[in-house]
Amino acid sequence: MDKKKNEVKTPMGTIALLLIFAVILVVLWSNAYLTMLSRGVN
Amino acid sequence: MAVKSMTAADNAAAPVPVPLTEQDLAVADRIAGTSIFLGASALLIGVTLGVMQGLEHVGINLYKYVQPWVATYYHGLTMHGVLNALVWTTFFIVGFFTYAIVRSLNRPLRYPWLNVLGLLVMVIGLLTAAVPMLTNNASVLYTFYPPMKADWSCYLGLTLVVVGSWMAGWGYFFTLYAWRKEHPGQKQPFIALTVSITMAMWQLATLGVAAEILFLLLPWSLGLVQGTDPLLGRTLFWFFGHPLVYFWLLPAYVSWYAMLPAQTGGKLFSEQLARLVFWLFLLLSTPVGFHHQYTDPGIPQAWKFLHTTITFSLAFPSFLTAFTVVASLEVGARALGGKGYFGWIRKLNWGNPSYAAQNLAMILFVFGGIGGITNASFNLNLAVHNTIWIPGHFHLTVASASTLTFFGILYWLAPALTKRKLFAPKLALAQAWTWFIGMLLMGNALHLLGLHFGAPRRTMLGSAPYASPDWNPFLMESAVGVTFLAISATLLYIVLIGTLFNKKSDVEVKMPVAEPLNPSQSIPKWLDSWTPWVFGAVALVLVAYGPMLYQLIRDIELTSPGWRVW
Repeated sequence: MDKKKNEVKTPMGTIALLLIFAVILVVLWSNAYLTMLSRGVN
Repeated sequence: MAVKSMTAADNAAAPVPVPLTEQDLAVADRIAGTSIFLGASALLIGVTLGVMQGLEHVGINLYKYVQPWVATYYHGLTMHGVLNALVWTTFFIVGFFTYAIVRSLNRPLRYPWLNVLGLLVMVIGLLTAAVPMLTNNASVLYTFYPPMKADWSCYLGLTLVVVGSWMAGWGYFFTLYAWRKEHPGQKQPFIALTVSITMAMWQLATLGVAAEILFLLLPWSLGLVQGTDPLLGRTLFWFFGHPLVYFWLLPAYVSWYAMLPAQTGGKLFSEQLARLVFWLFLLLSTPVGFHHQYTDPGIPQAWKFLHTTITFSLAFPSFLTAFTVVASLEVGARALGGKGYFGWIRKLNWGNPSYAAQNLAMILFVFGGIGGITNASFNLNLAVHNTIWIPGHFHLTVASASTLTFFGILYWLAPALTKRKLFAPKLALAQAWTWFIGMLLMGNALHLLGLHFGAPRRTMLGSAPYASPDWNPFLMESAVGVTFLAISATLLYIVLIGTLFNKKSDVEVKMPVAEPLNPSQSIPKWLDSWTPWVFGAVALVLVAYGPMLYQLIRDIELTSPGWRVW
C-alpha cells in the first residue's frame, strides 16, 4: 500500500520536451559545424 | 546509508535551537534589501549603456549627448559589463541568499555583524572601483585583460567587492554549521544547503582572480613592478571567469528547483537528483577555464583537452536540471488538470509575473546552453572566438537565464521586503515578455552575425570601415531587440519604484518553498555530506590547474608594458 502511494508517475511531458531539446541541440550544433566547414575552416 | 535521526542522548547533547525572531528577520531583510537596491541601481545604469551600444551598431550614436560622463564607446562598454555582470549579479545574489537562508533554516544569522560587514566591504569596493571607472581611468572592459592597464584603485575596488561576498558566504557557512549542531542527524534543508554550496564554489573560484589582482595587477598598476605576464594573468582570470557563470546560474537554479514549482502548484520531483546537481557543480565548475583559452599559446593541447572534457561533463548536471525542474512543473500543471504530452503547459501559472519571468528565462537558457556546448567544442570555438557570437551567448545566459529569473524572484521578493503590494502586476508580466522577446531577437542576431560573418565583439560596429552591408539585416534585428529591452527595463523600474511607494499589503508575502514530491524518500548520506565534495573539488582543481600554474609561475616574465588604448 505504502509502496504504491510512494510511486511517482513518469513525467511523459517532460520526457517529450527533453527529446525535442535534444533534437534542437543536434540541429543547431550541426548547423554551426556545417557553417564552419562552408567557411573553409578545416 | 541514509541520513537518519540520532538517539535521544545525541539530541540531549545538542545546543538548544535558536529561535528566529522578528528582530532577526528585520536584520536579515535590511541586509537583503540594501544589497538588492544597490544591485538594481547598478543595473539601471548598465542597461542604459547597453541600449546605447545596441543603437550605435545601427549608426545611432548617442555618446555625443553624454559627454564627458561616457567619454567613449569602450568607456561605456566597460561600465556596462562591470555593472551588469559583476555588480548587479553579486549584490542581488547576496541579498537573495541572505533573505532565503534564515527562512530555510528557521534560525537567525549566526554572526549578523559578519554579513553586515561583508555588505559594507562590498559597498566600499564598489565606490572605490567606481571612481576610476566613471573618470575613464579604467576602461579595460569587464575582463580587465592585461596588458591593458587600469588605475590601481579599480583593481582594489573589485577585490573588495569579492572579499565582501566572501564574508557574506562565511556568514552563511557559520549559520548552517550552527543549525547542524542544533539538529544532529537531520538532513540539511535544501535551500540553505544549495545557497551554501553556491558560495563554497564561489570561494574556490575567486581564488584565481584574487591571486591575479594581488600578485600581478596591483603591484604593476602601483608601479612596484614594471611589466606583467598576460598569459598568467588570463589563466588566473579564467580560473575565476568560467565558474563566475555558475555563480550567476546557481542562484537561479535554487529558485527553479526549490521555489518555482510551488508557484505553479508543483513539487520538487526528486530532491536526491537536485542535491546531486549542486554537488556536481561544486566539483566541476572551476577546473574548466582553459576552454576560454583555446587560442592562447603557452598552454599545451593536453591541458586544454582535459579542461574540455571536464567542461562537457558539466552538461550532465545541466541535463539533470532540465529534467528535474520541468518534471517538477509538470507535476503542478497536471494537478491543475493539465493533460497530454504538451497540453499541461497551458496550465502553468503564466498569469503570475514572477512565475512567467522565470519560465521564460528557462526557455532562453535552452539556447544559451546549446551555444555554450558549441563554444566548448574546440574547432567550433575557433570559428566563433572573439566574434559577436560570444556576447550573443552570454546575453542568453547571464542576461536572460539569470537576470530574467532574478526579475521573477524580485516580483515576490520586493513585496516581501517592503511589505507592500506589487505595483501593476500586468506591467510586470509585460516586462517579462518584452525582455524575453528582446533577448531572443538580439541573441539570435548576434549569434548569426558572429557565425556567418565573423563580426567582431567589443567593437563599434556602427563605425567599422570593414562592416559589410550583409550585416545590416542582423544589426537591425538586434536593434529591434534592444528596443524591446529598453521598454522592458523601463517597465521593470516602474514596477519596482511603484512597489516601493505602493500601499501596504494586508497579506504577508512569504518565500515560496516547493515541497518534495516524495517526502518519505530518504537522502543518502553522501548527498548530505560536505567532505567528499569539497575535497574532490580542491583535488580536481589541483590536478587540472596545478602543473600548468606551477609552470607559468616558474617561467613568469614580467616584461609586458601596460597599455592605455582609450
